[in-house]
Amino acid sequence: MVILYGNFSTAYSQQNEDQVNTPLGQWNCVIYGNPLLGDERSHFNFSTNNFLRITRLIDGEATSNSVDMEYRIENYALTFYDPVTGRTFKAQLGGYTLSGEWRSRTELGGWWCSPGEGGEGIFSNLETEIPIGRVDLETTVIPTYPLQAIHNITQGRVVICFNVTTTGNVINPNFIEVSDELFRAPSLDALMRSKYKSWLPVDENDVFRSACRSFIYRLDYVYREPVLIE
Amino acid sequence: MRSLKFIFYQKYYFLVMLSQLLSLELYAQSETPSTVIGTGNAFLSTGSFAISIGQYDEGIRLTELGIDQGSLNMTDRDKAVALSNLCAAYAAKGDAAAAIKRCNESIVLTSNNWRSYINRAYAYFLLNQLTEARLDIDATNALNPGSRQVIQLRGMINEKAYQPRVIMEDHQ
Repeated sequence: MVILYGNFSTAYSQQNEDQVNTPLGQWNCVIYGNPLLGDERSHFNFSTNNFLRITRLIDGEATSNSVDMEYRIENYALTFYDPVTGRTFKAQLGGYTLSGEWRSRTELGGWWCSPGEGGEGIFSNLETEIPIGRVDLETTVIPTYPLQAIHNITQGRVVICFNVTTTGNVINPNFIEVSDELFRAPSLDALMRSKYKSWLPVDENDVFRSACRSFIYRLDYVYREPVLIE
Repeated sequence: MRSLKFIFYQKYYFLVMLSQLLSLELYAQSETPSTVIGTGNAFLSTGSFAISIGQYDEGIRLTELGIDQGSLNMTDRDKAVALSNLCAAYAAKGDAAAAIKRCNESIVLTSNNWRSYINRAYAYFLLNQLTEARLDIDATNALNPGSRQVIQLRGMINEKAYQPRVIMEDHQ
């Protein structure tokens, strides 16, 4: 169930049947895909008067407020332009997450958000108030690059959000982005075979942590022309 | 009689080659007639069959005999097809240089036989000369667009030319 927190009344807070039909409220977001900046964490605050304020975070601390920018929703398509970074953000509402892509003149990336109240990081567990920190991986499985994708020179990206149980098992995988169907199965297989370290001393069935993982599939051209001797 | 001979050549000579090298089923294999009709060159047809079942040395021997014996009354097209088969047989044996030589001779005689180009592309692939292989694949594709052999060999070339890697990032 996606619930919007923030400065808005409960009229906005309940999303219909788990779907995100309106962005109103405050969201804790990750913007990814910029090779120089890496993952960027921000609060997105959508107001009822069609303005959005992005607050950038470093180590969980708010660092700056952006200017208010206008956002538009047409036919469930959310768009806004961030003049600070020169990126245009797009998302299709009606899905189960608030997520989409961004484009600048030369780059392309993605973003996704979890509902948030601010200041606790994107994966805080608001219901249980369990201490927040990174969950360490115990077993990492790297996906196999699909042979068909190599043959077709297909590169791409997959982003999956999921929950981690107190014993470190991965559950509830949810695809946020799949650039090509060829990458879906190996990504899911690798994720589900991964295991995190236990993060609570006792096993709690209904307590879990949320995380997301991106898989970036790249092909490097390594062929060197052989030196021919006449 | 000429038309019968032509059909015979079509069905036998084109049986081979890269399809077998690339582990594809042989095209037109089911159409292979069991009886030779007309004035066809028996050495060439038997050689073609030998190559198609993996008896490359025997196929090469018979095909070369066929070229020698039929040299007086063979058309350029027939000879080109026989040379293309030789090219494929040498490539299948791993003798890429000999294969390229035969394919070159075939292409000089008939420049529009796509099998000569795909066979030579495979030979270049064996020599790790991927640029040349790609050029021949492009030529094949121009003559016979969308063929399975082109798709498969192009994939094999990409497999050799590209190093895959997967970067994983956890976002917590």
